[in-house]
Amino acid sequence: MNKHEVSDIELVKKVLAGEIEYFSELVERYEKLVFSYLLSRLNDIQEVEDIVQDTFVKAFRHLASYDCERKFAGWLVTISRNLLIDSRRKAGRNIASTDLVTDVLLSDSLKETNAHPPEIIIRRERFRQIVNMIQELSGDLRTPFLLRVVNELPYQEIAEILNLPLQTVKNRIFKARGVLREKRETYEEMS
Amino acid sequence: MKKCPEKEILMAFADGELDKSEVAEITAHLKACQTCAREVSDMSEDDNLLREGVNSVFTRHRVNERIMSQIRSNPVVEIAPAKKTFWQRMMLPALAIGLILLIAVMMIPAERKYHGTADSVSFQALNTEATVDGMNATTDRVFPLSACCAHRLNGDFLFVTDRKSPAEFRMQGIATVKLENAVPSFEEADIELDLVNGDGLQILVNGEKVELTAGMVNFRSLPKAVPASQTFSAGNEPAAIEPVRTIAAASATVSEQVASTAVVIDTTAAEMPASASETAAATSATAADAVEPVDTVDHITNPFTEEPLGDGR
Repeated sequence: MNKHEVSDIELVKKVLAGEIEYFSELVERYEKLVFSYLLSRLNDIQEVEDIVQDTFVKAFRHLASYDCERKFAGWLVTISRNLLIDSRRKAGRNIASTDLVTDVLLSDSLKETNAHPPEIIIRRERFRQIVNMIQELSGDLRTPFLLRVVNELPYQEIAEILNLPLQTVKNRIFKARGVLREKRETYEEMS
Repeated sequence: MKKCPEKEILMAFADGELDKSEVAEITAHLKACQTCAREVSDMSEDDNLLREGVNSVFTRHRVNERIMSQIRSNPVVEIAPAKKTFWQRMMLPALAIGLILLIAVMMIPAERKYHGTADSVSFQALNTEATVDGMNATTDRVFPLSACCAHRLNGDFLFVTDRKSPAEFRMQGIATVKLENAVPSFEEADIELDLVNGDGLQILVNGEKVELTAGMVNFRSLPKAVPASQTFSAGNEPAAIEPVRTIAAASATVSEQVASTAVVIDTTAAEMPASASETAAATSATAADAVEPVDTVDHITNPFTEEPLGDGR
């Protein structure tokens, strides 16, 4: 993820030197990553938003303790995971939630299309299937799969971010795709 | 048509994880095989659909402005807490492991009880030239020092002790080392020792108790007992003069000594002067003459914390 002119570490140094506006560049680079990580673990879009925000604010507050040897993305995901665990401990957070991620994905992503030509309808139906199928995947499979598909990250980078062996990441993405393929075939047979 | 590639290969192809030659091979296959081509195309299509959908949701639920506004309202980066030492970080796990070991020891028959060390000592080669029992040691391997198993070391090593006051010291040279009554013991030793971290500790060198404190202590080429007739004239009993091996610079701190130079005093029996007045003069002369530069040890790092050890922490 360091295809940028200014490296993450340089940005961190600038922020630590008092130029806090450079932090927005780090947010720009990694907000989608943290968002999709949380999207793969939560059912409540409001909670996803809150934890994305808390993750970056916490990262900013503790920037002085960031170990430059680590990947910044990996550090953010670790913070995010810890906040997620804290959030899970707080009882009843998502009991009354109505903003289930699945619903949000299905409604938000299709808002632009008022006209409904046949290909749009087909795509919408296909998207609905994919989202439902992804919801049925276990979190362990869903997370590396979403990081790969949404963020287009190489397997190696996903392994570093999730602190998993490369082969484990490959296997999980492969398994996720296998499950999705099976479900698609079943659906196609049925229809 | 060639045999179809594994599905995993097709996935890696769709994900751009294959090298050029593999890509060329799969591309050629896809031209000839509709089933595989469909597989890859479905995969890519689904990925695109999902990516677009999530991107669309992400765009609507971005919180970048909220983040920056919260940061601007209180732009305070907390000062990093002092990094915990290896021992501080390991305290809880160590307690848990200790408890488990205690329970385990209590549960196994007495004759099989573990004769390990209460105060653990471990060592690690500081470069790949160092040998343990004649074999080159890798720098990432940590050897526990035990009472039952002596090791012949040759080279540059870091020892880490787990006591009330943890200590780390460097050994350079050749010695057979083991744990003796929970004290690191160096036999047949031709070594230099340098305490690089901690308040000091007691060790045994060639059977002799030594308090290892700040600075470097030289045990290189210790002369064997020299016959009194060769060194001492009648009436100047050598027994009256104790060899001094405890070195503690009066004012310099550990870091200053390690980072700059260390005073090496090695007043051995062979160098003992003939009279008390000569003793004082010779000791002072030896100390002055023996001031020699010692390599800085900034490059030494604690193998567990990867923090430099030469800074006197």
